[in-house]
Amino acid sequence: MKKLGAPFGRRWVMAFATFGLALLSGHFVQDMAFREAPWKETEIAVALPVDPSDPSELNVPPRLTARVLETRLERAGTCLPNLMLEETPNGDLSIDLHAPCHASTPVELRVNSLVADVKTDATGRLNQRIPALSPEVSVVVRLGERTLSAQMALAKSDAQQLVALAWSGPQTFFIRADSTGAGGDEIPGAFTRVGHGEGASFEIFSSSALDSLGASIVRLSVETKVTEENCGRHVSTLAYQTSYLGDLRPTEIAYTMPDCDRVGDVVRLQNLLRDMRLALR
Amino acid sequence: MLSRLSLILALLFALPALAETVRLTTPDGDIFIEGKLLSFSGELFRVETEFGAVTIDAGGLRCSGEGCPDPADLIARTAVGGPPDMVHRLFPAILEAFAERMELGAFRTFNDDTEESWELREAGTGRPVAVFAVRSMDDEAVEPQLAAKQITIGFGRLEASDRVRQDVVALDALVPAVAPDNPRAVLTQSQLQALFAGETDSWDRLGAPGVPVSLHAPKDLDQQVRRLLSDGISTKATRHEDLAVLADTVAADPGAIGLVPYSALGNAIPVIVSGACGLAIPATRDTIRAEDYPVTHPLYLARLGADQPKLVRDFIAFARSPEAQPLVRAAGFVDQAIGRISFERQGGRIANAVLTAGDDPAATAEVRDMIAALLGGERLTLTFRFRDGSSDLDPQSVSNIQRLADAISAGAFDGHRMQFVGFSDGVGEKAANLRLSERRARSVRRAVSARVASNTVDFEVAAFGELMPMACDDTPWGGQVNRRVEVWVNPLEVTR
Repeated sequence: MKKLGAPFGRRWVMAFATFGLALLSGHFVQDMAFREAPWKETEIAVALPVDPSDPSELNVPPRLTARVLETRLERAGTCLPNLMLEETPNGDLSIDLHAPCHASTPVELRVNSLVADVKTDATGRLNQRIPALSPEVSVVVRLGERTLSAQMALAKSDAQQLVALAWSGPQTFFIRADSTGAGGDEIPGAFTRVGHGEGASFEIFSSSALDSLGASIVRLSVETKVTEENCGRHVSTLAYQTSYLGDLRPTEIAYTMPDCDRVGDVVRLQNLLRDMRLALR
Repeated sequence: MLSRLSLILALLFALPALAETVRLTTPDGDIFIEGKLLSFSGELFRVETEFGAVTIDAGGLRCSGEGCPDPADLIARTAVGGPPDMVHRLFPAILEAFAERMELGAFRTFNDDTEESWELREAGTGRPVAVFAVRSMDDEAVEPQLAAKQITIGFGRLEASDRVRQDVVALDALVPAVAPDNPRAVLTQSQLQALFAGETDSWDRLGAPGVPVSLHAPKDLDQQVRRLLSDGISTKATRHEDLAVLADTVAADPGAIGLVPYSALGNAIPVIVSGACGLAIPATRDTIRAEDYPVTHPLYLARLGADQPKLVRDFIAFARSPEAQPLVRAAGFVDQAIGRISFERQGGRIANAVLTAGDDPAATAEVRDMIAALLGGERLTLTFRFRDGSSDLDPQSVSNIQRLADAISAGAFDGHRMQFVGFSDGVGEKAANLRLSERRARSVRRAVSARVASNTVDFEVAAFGELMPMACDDTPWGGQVNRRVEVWVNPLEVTR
């Protein structure tokens, strides 16, 4: 795949909206304007300023790398959904979806292999910030029949370590993190939850040497509470952790909850997640 | 005659029912054999082909045709058992990398803190080819479980009886450790002994802020505890079954001191233990690999025999190989990769040898000879040591013989001169110690030499007796640390 816009500045978006590829694979943004005059390019890359309100950015000329895209954008009018990715100064990924004709619409958001069912707001916007899952991150947004996809290289992806849980319906399992001997009761990192409690959701715990309050090891475990609804039942969730080979891999938690006479008990699974090693001893 | 005829007829009619056609194809689809299936043992196919009967390992093969066994029987199944840190931390790291190398997907299902399973699947088709059912258990349970065929692969820290085949897959060490805010970085052996005997109840007696001492130790690992503290430890010590809880308890309490495996230290800080003579060896990856740190111990992979599916045998071979060593390290254990320590980085112990020689001209000349022999060389982290009170190599050193021979055969030291350098403790007569250290060095060289496939390395033997002690002989473990054969290498072009 040819990628355009490689030399962009750090604070510039590198959003690769792979419309042409989507067309070939059936994931086409089906606006009428596109249907009337299908183009020939197999890939279009667009770069837009990250933050136009930032005066330092205003001196940088906008780079619309494909004139034909500009034309199509005009013809498509304001209904064209727009997906932009940005690397924030601390290395997170900022996902910005603007779908003016899809206010309060269900959206399936897929970031690498993590999926969540979310919604656009009343103006058709969806803004989500998540920790960098990998050096090259892939985002796919499904808006009804439409699919938008983009990829982005994240320069600071190794600044943090992370684990994630992914589930469907109400959350049963929760990540617990401790940096014993260093930070008292403070949590040595940050939680990011994506999803609205129905359908698919995921939660990421991320930590860096800075978050860990000087500790070299953050102990990770997974907790679940026995409730009237889940007692005695078989429950499952996916836990994601960076493998020894560097990629984020899922582990299925296939757990039979304790019997209903233990409602209110909290079960902690210690051996599921490996400890985070944040600094070399 | 009639009975023989009837037997032949019976066989002729029976054969088509027993032997149906199968086609066995390799995973890449490049090679196949076709014929009548004569038998399937769960591991081996026996097929009558046009070239005669062929026996072939079922591992990874795809079977098509009416005679194929149930697909579930084609999955290599094995049960793995051992202490939690090894089966839930070390084993997954090695298995993930093994799967990657075999171009298989690895899928983990976690049931609870004691049970999980790993399924290896073909990358393209998703067809399962192996299942590893993993269960954590006490170290003591591993050998009986192997014997009862409840598990086929065991992990553990205990040396098993001769009926079990054991390989060293990683190293670990028992380390005295304190909380990060405890200012004591060094303790003498007698101070450590007094602490764990319960005789020192407050840290102010050791020049640290006056908080009460609390003692912590693992529930098991008594063998290692006794090597560090021959009198054992006070009943006041809290014994912890979970090694992470042990480390975390120590890390959170400024008054705590614990004996913690190096692999489980967490945020606890190791304390250096010195002898009365002032020599001290900190626990680091290098000192543990070199077994210079006294309470180093091997972690074993054990199994009964070779009657396992090929994929499982391949996994065991991978776990024993140098390729697995970076994964051992990534999982927080100490690896056995052969590292090199330059002469310059050993200034402390060379200086100690010079100081020990004092004004004695003969001793000074010996030190000069030793420096001349080692100057410009690099010491390998692999060292040979001996069982307590014995001239037999300890288990880690037995494993080192093959590891060094393999590295030499693979050309890792081509164009080098390799010296096996013997040292002794300082107990007894000096000349006898020198002879003993030379004998040990020669025997190690012989053992390595016998296992090297094609040698392109010049072997030499040197011995310096008690000239360069690493630890004080007055500690229970000091003598054992000092009785050693080091391996030094020099590139041939800079050799005198």
